[in-house]
Amino acid sequence: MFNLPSEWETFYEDMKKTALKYIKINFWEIEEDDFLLWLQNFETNEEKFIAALLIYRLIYRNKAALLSMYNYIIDIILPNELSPFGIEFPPLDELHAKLENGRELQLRFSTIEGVDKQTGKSGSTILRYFERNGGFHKRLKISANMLKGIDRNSCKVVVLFDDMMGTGEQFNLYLEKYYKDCEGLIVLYCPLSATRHAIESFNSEKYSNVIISPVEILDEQYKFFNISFMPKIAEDIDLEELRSIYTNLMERKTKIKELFGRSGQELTYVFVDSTPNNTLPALWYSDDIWTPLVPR
Amino acid sequence: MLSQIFKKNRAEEFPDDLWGKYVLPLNYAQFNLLHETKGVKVVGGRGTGKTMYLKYHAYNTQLSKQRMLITEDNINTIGIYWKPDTHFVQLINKSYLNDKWDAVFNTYVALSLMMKFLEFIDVFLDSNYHDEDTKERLKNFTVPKDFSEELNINQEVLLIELKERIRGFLFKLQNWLHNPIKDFLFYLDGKATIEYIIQIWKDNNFFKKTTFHIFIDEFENLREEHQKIINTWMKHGASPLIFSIAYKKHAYVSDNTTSKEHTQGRNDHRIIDLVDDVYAKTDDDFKLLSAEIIASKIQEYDSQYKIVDNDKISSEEEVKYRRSIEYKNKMIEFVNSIFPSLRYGEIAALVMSDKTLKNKLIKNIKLALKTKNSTLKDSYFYDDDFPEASVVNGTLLFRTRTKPEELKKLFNDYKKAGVQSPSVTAYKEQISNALVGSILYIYISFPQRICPIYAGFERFCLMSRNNLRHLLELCYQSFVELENSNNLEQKPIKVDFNLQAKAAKFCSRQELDTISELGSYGKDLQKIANRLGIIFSLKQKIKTQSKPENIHFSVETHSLETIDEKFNILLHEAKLWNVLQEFDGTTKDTSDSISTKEFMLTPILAPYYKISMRKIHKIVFKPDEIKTIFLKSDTEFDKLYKKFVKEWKIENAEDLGLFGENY
Amino acid sequence: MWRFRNIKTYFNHDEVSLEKDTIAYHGDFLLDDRGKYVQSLLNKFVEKKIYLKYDENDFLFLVNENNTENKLSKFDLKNKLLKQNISHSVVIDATTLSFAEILFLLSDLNKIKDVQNIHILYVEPSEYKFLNSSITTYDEFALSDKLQQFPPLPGFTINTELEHVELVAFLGFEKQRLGQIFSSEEVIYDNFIPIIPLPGFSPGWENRTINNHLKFFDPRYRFSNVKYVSANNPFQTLKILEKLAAARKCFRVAPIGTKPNAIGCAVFLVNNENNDETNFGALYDFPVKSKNRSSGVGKVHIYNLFKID
Repeated sequence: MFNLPSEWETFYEDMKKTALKYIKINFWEIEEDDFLLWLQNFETNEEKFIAALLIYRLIYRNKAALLSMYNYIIDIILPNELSPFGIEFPPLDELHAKLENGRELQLRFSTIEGVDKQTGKSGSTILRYFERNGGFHKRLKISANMLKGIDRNSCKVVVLFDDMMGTGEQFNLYLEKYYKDCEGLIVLYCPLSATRHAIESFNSEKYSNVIISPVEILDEQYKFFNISFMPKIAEDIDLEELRSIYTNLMERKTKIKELFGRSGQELTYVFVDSTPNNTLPALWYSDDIWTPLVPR
Repeated sequence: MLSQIFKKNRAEEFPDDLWGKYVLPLNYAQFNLLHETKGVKVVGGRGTGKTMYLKYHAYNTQLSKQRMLITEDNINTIGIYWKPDTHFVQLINKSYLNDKWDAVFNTYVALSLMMKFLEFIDVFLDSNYHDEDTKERLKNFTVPKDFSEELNINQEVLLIELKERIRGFLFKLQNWLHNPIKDFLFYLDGKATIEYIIQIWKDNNFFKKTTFHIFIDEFENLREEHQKIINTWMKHGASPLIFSIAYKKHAYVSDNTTSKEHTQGRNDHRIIDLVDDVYAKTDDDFKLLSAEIIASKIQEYDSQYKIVDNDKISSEEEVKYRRSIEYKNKMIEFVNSIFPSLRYGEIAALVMSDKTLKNKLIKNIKLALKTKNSTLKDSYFYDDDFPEASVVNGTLLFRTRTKPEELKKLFNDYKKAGVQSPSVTAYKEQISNALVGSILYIYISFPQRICPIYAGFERFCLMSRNNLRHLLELCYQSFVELENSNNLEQKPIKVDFNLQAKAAKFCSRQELDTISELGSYGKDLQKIANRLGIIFSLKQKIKTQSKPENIHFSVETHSLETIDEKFNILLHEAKLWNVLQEFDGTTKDTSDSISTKEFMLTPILAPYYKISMRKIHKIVFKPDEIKTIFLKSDTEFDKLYKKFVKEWKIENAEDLGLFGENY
Repeated sequence: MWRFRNIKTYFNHDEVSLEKDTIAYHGDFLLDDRGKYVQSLLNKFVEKKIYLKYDENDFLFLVNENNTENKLSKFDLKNKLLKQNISHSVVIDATTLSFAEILFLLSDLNKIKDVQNIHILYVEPSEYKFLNSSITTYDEFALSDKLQQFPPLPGFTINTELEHVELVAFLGFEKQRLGQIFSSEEVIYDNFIPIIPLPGFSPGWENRTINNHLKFFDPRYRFSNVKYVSANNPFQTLKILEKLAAARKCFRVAPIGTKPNAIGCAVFLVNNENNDETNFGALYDFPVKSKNRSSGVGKVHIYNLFKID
């Protein structure tokens, strides 16, 4: 039997209040009603406790955060990853101006697409968002099928945006399809987030001109059923039992197969417009019975 | 929304014109700053309404457009409220400016006060004061040449245009201070400049009979050398220019002047204590003032309530009407209807009618009987019709001297109304003394429950302990709870005691949280408050409740000063920020307690620690114990805590880790 | 005026190199692992090392060069820097220096024609010791004798009596730093703009920052909305301040978040020092660094700046 901590209700109430406040200050770009409906998915006390933990562990990336991450890629990742290849950039102000201008820069932006049914949507959203709001000119945007033909004098680097590199599978599929088209180019893959597992399992020897440089790295501790980032109130709970309660709930109320996210990664990482499927489906799954908190 | 009206409880959140908003304390007549002929020192801690009180006397309020009639009297003393930007002023010091600092400070004060004086002119012109001729002349009055030349102004300038020029100079001074190598444009003497302006006015038949009284707020945040200069002005202040200062109670401020004479405290300048003198000389004074403030705000929300006359609350003339017994009763009745409370007996009845709480009581009784090897049935000791005695029996039975057989008899006698005997009388007294402690003892076992003892206007007043900010915050949070429960439509307005208790707990936690932000030692103060709270809370768990209701302490020592220096610094800070309140010892709990100072933890924290907010019995700490509480590490404190657990025989003491964050 | 040329980030400490002909300004090395690393780095590459410490109470700078100690006023420091043979490359170690020293150095170096480029060094710790913010945890804070919690910084102090002043605050974990601004001053700022570090040094840390400060995100504190800037990108910090400055002419900046944020704040303030149209001030509380806060040596950043007229 699961031992619910004695202060669980205070914790639940507090987390609910906190979430509502996050919504009020637009940190979470979620409608209050949607949040309250999502809460109703959780009925028993144990389930409510899980909902509270989910709120506590949720890592939310709103629009402003996305832009901040874009700037991180431009200001820090690009120059540092590419300078060993002899690619230099102008001073930062000028770099941004040239990006807006779309001229004089030997790089292009693209995303992971055209691989299977699943890929393409979230990466494209990010790419489009950065183009419109981050400020690079649309002529710098290319699609995968343009890789082969692009003039190697005017383009030396392809920067691939993506929301998350969860397992590395999609990226591998992409490379299998397009790597030869990338000959003569440096491929700089910048997912906004990546699991350490995905990074470490990438075969970098096979692809010598491919660099992976995520903005945020999520290691094992970011798995939901891991004690590391749990709040103090949960420090003595039995994680296995918590897991079974979760399993029970999801099996009862949803039709999803991978209850713990793609490859069992159990993440609680979401973006405003999309959620990687490595994130726990309790957050994004949607049907007549289960109301999502965030869109998939 | 009702709560929004109660949200503002800092003076800075209000406009400068407080007419109709500021409720004049009833003792006002003796504390009308505009009647003072010498400078005074106004003291008041955080949340005591010091700034509001000063601003009330200033021209923005006194010459308010809301006042239809401005008389000669109102013009004869003009209050000028000035709060310097103390962060900025710190820059004006010898290290940074060498010997120029004095001249620069004087210039800064002269310019800032001039701004205020010129603003006064604007307000005066706009007011309902009837003398149009004077106003017309003022509007056309040109600043005399020799004065404008002092300010490096070479053209003719009207008095009413001068303000913007002065603002410009203040900007220049600010910018000059960025890099003060050469001299500033000019240097002015603070007091002399203002005296000069006043003289110019009088010479030109303006404000001939007027005395100008300047109130300088946040005095404690000025540098000592600045304070000395102002003290000198205060000392030599006399009509038509008087200087008064205001600072936090207990703040260290200089008494020195720039000459060798000191200001001599009460002899030289009257000290007006906002709380002890002006509005809370007695607890009833505070209650009444609070009631009127609440009533006035509720009227702002819903004008159908006509309890106070907002036109009259700021007026000195109306004070006597507000002293009448009928008025007072009307006020108190009104707020009690908004924030009803349960009498302690009613809470006891609540315990008896609540299954969980009653079971706890029965469990206690059974345990006590078992400990005493009594075979009596527990049911002899409780009776739904006699909740108070029942609840208290639960603690009395644990006391060593209590024999179950005797108590059973006493209880029976007590129940029979006719029986009068000394022992029954003594028993009744015991019930009275132990009731609150016994109630709290039962509730403390249930972390989710909030004891309704914290609900009610009277209880709010107890928890606030004469701090208006705390009281208004309690009201605000209560209304928030009311709005969240969607019961606001119900008329008349009434906040259910459960919601009030919830609000009280929230305020309590919020205040504890805020302590870390107060002063340089905020974090230490918070830790100290928490540790004291934990100890008082622990004592609340003593089964016998023999000296119940602890929220204050004293230290067993000849002199507090001899205890560690750091301890004294922190003690002083705690008083300064109202985390602890100091009293002269009156209760005689232990005959060998030598120090006569007692310290009460701010009772606004009572709901969070589930302790009483009344000052009843104190704990006497040994010097080592208080040092541990104030200064030592968590490990050391943990040892002390365990020592108390053992000493007080607490069985269900929580692991310390659960205090602080709930999770 | 200072602009950012680029940001060089090293994951491997051994790869870090500085120009040979360098003058380096630094603070106390021995407080933690990072300081010791900077010391060894400077010893390896740098000829001239100058220790600098600003005393906020007497407004003087303690300067130690070649084991000679001096207390200098702001003006004397500037003159000293002027006289220095500044055809060297200049390094400012932001790891061991506080916001105040960085601010004053940037200001003075801005005025020296010979100095056209500077490098600001910042070393991240590899691990932050997470002290539970619960009140039962005792942080070893040194008791200070400060009269005020926010001493004024000469040259960057504005008078709030003159016009409406807004507050732009870069936040970190400790909410009482912001709390003290609101409780110590009793100044009502016209607008309060909090800036959260996102992405932070570690994913999810922004939640802690936001959580700890939630109560201030309320109209009571004149709060309107939250802004976000990367925890270790002073260039973006500068840009966000410039964007805010385009819409408002008077605010106080409180760099009470990350050190890279503080660097961006310093550059912003120095760039606007002589601007007559604007009125920007700094609000800094000189926290005493606790010795157990962080450990290890993480990424090394060098922020390269150049001067334009």
